[in-house]
Formats: sequence, structure tokens, C-alpha cells
Amino acid sequence: MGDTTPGAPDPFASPLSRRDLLSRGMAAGGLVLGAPLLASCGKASTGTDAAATGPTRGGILRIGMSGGGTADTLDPLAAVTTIDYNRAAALFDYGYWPDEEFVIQPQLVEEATPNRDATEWTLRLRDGVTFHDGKSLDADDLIFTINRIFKLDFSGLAGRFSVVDRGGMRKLDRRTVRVPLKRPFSIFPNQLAQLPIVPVGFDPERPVGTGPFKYERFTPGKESLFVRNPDWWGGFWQVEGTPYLDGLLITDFGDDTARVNALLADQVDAIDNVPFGQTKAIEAQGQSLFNVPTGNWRPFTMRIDAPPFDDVRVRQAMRLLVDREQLVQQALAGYGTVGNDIYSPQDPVVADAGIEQRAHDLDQARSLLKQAGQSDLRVELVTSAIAAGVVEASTVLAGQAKAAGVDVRVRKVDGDTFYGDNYLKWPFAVDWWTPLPYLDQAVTADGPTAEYNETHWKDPEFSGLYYDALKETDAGKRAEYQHEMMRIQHERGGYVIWGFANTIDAHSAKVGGMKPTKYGQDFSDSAFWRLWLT
Amino acid sequence: MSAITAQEPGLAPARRARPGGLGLRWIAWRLVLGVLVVLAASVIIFLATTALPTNPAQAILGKQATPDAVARLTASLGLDRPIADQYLSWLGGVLQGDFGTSLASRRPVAEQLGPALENSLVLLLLTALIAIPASVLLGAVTALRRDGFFDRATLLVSLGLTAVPEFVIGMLLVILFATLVFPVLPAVALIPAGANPLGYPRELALPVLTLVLAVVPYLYRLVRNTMIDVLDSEYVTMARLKGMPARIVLLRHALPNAMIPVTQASAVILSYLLGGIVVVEYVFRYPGLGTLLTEAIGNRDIPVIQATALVLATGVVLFNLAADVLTVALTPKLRTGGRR
Repeated sequence: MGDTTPGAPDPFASPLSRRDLLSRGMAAGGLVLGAPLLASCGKASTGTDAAATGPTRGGILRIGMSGGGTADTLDPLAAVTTIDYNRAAALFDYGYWPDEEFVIQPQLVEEATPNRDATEWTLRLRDGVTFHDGKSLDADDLIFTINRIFKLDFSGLAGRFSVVDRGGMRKLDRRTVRVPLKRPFSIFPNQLAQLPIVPVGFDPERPVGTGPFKYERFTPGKESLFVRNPDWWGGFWQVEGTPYLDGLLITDFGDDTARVNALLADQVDAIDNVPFGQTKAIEAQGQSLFNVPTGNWRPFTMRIDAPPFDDVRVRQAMRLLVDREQLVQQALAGYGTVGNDIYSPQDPVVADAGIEQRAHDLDQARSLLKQAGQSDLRVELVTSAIAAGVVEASTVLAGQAKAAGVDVRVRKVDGDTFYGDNYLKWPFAVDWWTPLPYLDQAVTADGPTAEYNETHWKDPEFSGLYYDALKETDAGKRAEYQHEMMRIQHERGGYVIWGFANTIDAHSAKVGGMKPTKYGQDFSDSAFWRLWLT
Repeated sequence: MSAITAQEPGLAPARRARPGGLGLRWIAWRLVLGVLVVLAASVIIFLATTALPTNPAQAILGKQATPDAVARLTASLGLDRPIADQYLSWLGGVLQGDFGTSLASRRPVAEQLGPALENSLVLLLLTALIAIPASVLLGAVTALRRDGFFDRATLLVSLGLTAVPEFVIGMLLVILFATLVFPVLPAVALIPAGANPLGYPRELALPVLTLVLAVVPYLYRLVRNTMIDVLDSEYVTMARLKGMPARIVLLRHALPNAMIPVTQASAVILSYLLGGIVVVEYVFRYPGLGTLLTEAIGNRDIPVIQATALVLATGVVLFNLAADVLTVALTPKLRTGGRR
């Protein structure tokens, strides 16, 4: 069961399940904060034989994906794992969607207009888009989709869309909906980038979407076959002739070895989540690696309300004593980039903040610990193989901490224990995330109402800026608030964000169209319409 | 493979069986015991799964297991009911032929169980069809050429194979025949859902070969040793002294007598294979009971774990019963001795 990581089809992929993670060997390699994003992408290999010949029509692309299981679903609103999100991205289009520069672009929602304090949004749907069954997309579908989130036993979107005052949603005309919110939310388009729109009366057994591929067959835990949607509207990309493929066969692989073997034995054309140890073997066999820096982060999490991390000096010392370069080299086998304790490095707003990279400084770490009366600090770090490199990073950290006189005891637990009753409560632990835009990440990870606030971050100054940012409809002013938020996190936050892991897919020379993006998720952010076979 | 010798006690009731009657009452008693064993196994498995540190809702949600989401999913899966209640309602369903609904897929368990059972049986029977005759042949040949080069070489190889776990054998075969050395066979058994695996002989080749290589070393040595005993026995010496051709001595006298322990061992091997397929199916991603079980455990999908374990336990009981019954059936013949 190895299950998951970067490369969720969902643009800002929600966290994925442990099951997937276990088997995923994530490649590391994120972006250096502040560095020109793609410039750091020295290792990205994108040239393929197929790429050299240009797009051709036809063929069924066979993809082996990590994770998945009998809980697989084609209900895009109930997606949990990477493989669910990838399938959803093939069948459905979303309200908004990130482009290659990681800017959220209007997709099925053509225009989203807020009122002055961002408490009410008027959404206009694109004209002339049809579902796979021929029905036209209209306002009722959008209202139905948002309401449906809350009718499911579980939807990863429920937290995000709880801000919507559902009773007050009004259809203004055939393709316009007014959506009132319970509180100001200036980045509502980011939420819409998570929202696959389904038709009224949606049946997950016979999923009908507007996406580039149509449902043909599906067996949870085994495989799905989707066929080309010749009437696809082309998304905001509008590339002539897409989708190029006749079909898309996605097969579940719980086991890393089986997935790699299937590629080497030509049973599949492409795989995601190549384990670090296999990259050389795959290249030696004439397959291509798709190695892209991303914002996939692997933090250590310090609870700011539990000793010893309730003392800001201890948190600062921990951040100073990590040797980030060494962590990237050893824990991620070099497939990654160094972090600066701030998430979302690919969001332009983070680069613009110009916050100085924190350096490795043992003297200052020791002095801060001494001031805090913690010169003989002993802490327990709870870790688990929830993503590739996480356990390795924990061990490396323990070694680095020793140099500053800190005794880090690494306690490795299995994934079930990690995500069990103490999840989000461990005083000192690990985590992994696929990237989100900065403010969106704050909403989910450490904002005042965040569902996954593992560091128990509560800071009055930060919260004030957060609420101001969510009220601010002017992007420029919003950026200023966010820069202040970052400075606070950088100064006294509970995360040690030491690095970002690359996405590593592999594919045969027959596969073309794999294009690196700033978002950097698997298969060019699940843009299967873009891929072709020769 | 101590399991093979552990079967010896089964011979005791066999000797008590009256000729012709085959001890029907004894068989019925064994069946009742078998049912009790299966029931006990189901209770243990149920308790074991509930003793795990997570509940199915947490396992399914993984990183998304916020307290809120866990509470909602737990309630909707009916996991907030008492354990005994959950077990009894499951058992009640099984007795009526309803294996319940998978917690992970929300579909009937039978929908997954049926095809998986069929696929595993194909794997199992193909392995038996190849491994048993191969072992008999190999055992007979090495017994006849005792201590010759071939015998020693075979023994060495078989000892090596015995020392290697099945999944290692499987991975070595993949490297050898699928990915690196001679890439001629598929590395993973990508058999479409609902298809008969017999239509995919290339996909079956490596999983079956792995199991054959795991089983033959035990079985052939048993045949070899039994044959050596038989060949050294007085009646074979006598047959030889009478001037009977070696071929007749071997086929009419030695082999049939050597077959009795082998028959029993073969049945036991089948029940051993029920465990072996779990590992081998996982390595090759073969869509059988083993894969189903591995995944269900990962999901804490208790109804599927229960159903799969129940089927496997029933298989073990049945194969052991078959081993005993066959022994009973064959022993009187043995006693009346070489009736030609």
C-alpha cells in the first residue's frame, strides 16, 4: 500500500492519504526560495524522442500510478488519494485551474467578481461547454456541485467550502450565480480551483464531466479506462487537436517495485513517484525521467503551545541548527531544493517578499538555547514513513542537532499510529504537503481557522493580517499583508521547512508532451490532454 | 515445511478406519472441528483488526483524518457500534450468504471476493499441476541416481531455494525474465478485472514459476527420501532377485508405495500455498485473494479481511481434511500390499 504525494491532479491538491504515501518514493527537489523558479531546474529532463517529433493523434496511454486501492473513487468531490485526483482531472474540469506559471486562471468559471469586502462573489460560467452526455453546463450545475459537497460522508472540500452561505446562493441567469460567504474571502477563486463541476443529478457510478476524457470503465484498486472526448472545449489552453490520445488507462500500483518493473517491462508507458534509488536504473534502461522542482514541502512541526517549543528561542534555535543543504542531499538524495521556513516557494508573492535565506548557525543556536535555559535540551521527534525522505530527514536532523548540544530522540511509528488519535497533536513531528498558493496554504495549515494546524500556531498579529488579507480584494495590497505574515512566520513560526521535494515521473521514449510547470505535479499537473504517443 | 510431518497424527485414525467404511463418522467429526477452527479464526481476526491503533475511517482518510472528518466517516460506516454487535451482524450475514459491504469501496464484499478467489485458485491449481508431477519425476530420478552428480547438484540448488523467501525468488525471476536480463515476460500480472487469467498465460508464467520453485524443493526431497526407503526395502530387493526388469520394479512396486506420503504431502502443500500466494500475488500484483487481503488490511476494511481470511482458513481446513481422507483411502491398500 504504498501507497502518495506530489502530483495530485487537484491543482492545490489536498493532502493525500497515508496509504498512498507509504509506497511513494518521492523525489525531492524543490525550488530555492527567491531563486528564479525554473532556473533551479537543472535536472529536469524533458526532451524525449516523442517530444522531438511533435504531437500525434491516437493511442492509449498506459500509466502506472502509486497508491490507490479499493477505496478509489471517481466521485471528484470525494477524492482522497493522488490517483483519485488524477482520474478526476481527466474526467472533469475545475472552476479555476493553475497555468504553467502557477497563476490561477479561469476555467469553467469564466469570471468571478467580489463585492467590496469579498463577502459575496458573482460567478459567471463559460458559455458553450457541454458535459459528456451532451447537456450544457449551466448555473444549476454549479449550485448543485457546491451543495453536493455537504451531502457526502466525506469530502475533502467540505472544510474549504464551509465559508459559503449555501442557503443564500442564487441563480441570476442561465450561467450566473451569486454566492454569499459567511465571512470575507478574497481568494475564493483559489477555492474554485479545487472545485470540479459535476452536472445536476451526478451519479458517481457513471461519472459525467466536461473534461478531456470520458468514462469507459473502472475497477477500484485496479484500473480505469477513459476515452477521448472529441467535443472537449479545450480549457483555457485552447490547443488545437487536444486531447491527442484516444484513451487513458490508469493502473493502480500499491508497490513501488512492481510499478517500476512494469515500466521496465513495457507494460505501462509512464509511472509517477519514482523512488530515489531507482532513477539511475530507469535511465540506464533508456526511459526518461520527468524530474521537476516543486513546492512539495516536508516540514518538522513544533507545537508552539507545548514545551519546550512554547519558547520562541527554542524554535529559532531548531531552525538555525538544521543544515538544510545536507538534508536535501541526504534525505532527498539531492532531488530537492532548500527551504527557508516559508511554504509555497513557487507562489510569486513569496519570492517578492525578499526574505533572507536562513543560514546554518550553530553558535547562535547554542546561545539562544542557553538564554532559554535549554542548553541540555532533549526532545522526542515522532516520525513515520508518510512520504519519501521523511524518516531519513528525521535521522539526519538528530545528527545535526547533536552538534548544537540538542538530544533529538527519533521515535519512528507506523503510518496508522501517526495518523491515529494523536495526529495533529504530536509536540514535535513531521509532515508532508503538496503545494498551495501562499494564502491558501495558510488557510489550510496554520491560519486561525486551519483544519490541519499541526503547530498550533496562534499569533494575534498574524491573525489580524490574515483576516485583513482575506478581506482585501486588491491583489497588490493583499500581497503586502502576506509579506508581513511571512515575516512573522519566518521569525517565530512553528515549522522547520528545510526543503522541497521534486516530482519524479518516468516514461518511455514513446510518450511526448510532458512539460515542466511551476506547480510541478505529476504528468504536467495531470494535463493528460497534453500528452501524446508515437 | 514441518507442516508435512505434523500431519503424521492423521494416520492414527486412519488405521482405525474399517475397510470400505472409510470412517464417515470420523470425516463428519473432522468437518465439525474444521468449522469450529474457521469460526475461531474469524473471532481472532476480528479482534486483531479492532485492536489496531487506527479505525477504518482513519486508515481511509490518512492525512485528511482530521477529528471532524473521522467522526463523520466513522458514524456513516457504522463503526460507532459495539464490537460484539459488529461481529455478530457480520456473522449473521455470512450465514445467510451475505459477506457484507466493503468499508473502503462501499460495494458488496462478494463482488471482490468472487473474482479474487477464482484467480487465486487458477494460480494454486496450475502450480500444483506443475509442481507435483515435477517433484515426483525429480524425486524418482534422484533416488535412482542417488549420490550422483545430478542428485548432488539438485540437492544443492533445492537447499538454496529453500533458504530464499518466495518474494526474493519472485524478484529474481523478474530481474531475470522481465526487466533486466531477458525481458521477455511481463513483470507484473496486469490481468483486466473480470477476465479469466487462463487467457493470460504470459502474465501467469512468473507467479506460477515462483510458487513452483518455492514448493518443489520440499516435495521432491520427500519423494526422493521415500523412494530411497522403498528401493532399499526387502520387497523391492526380492522383486529384483526374482529378475524383474528394473522398469517394472520401479513403476509397479516402488512408485505406488512411495506415493502415499507424497499424496498427503501434496494436499498439505496446497494449504501451504494458500499462504504463499499472499506474498507472491503482492509481488506480481496478481489480482487474487492475497492482493485483496493485503489491501484490505491497509484499509482496515474489516468485512473484506474477514471474508478473505474465512475463505483462506476454510481452504486450509479442507486441504488438510483431504490429506487425511486420502491417507485413509490409501492406507488399507497399502496394508493389503501390492495387490496386482
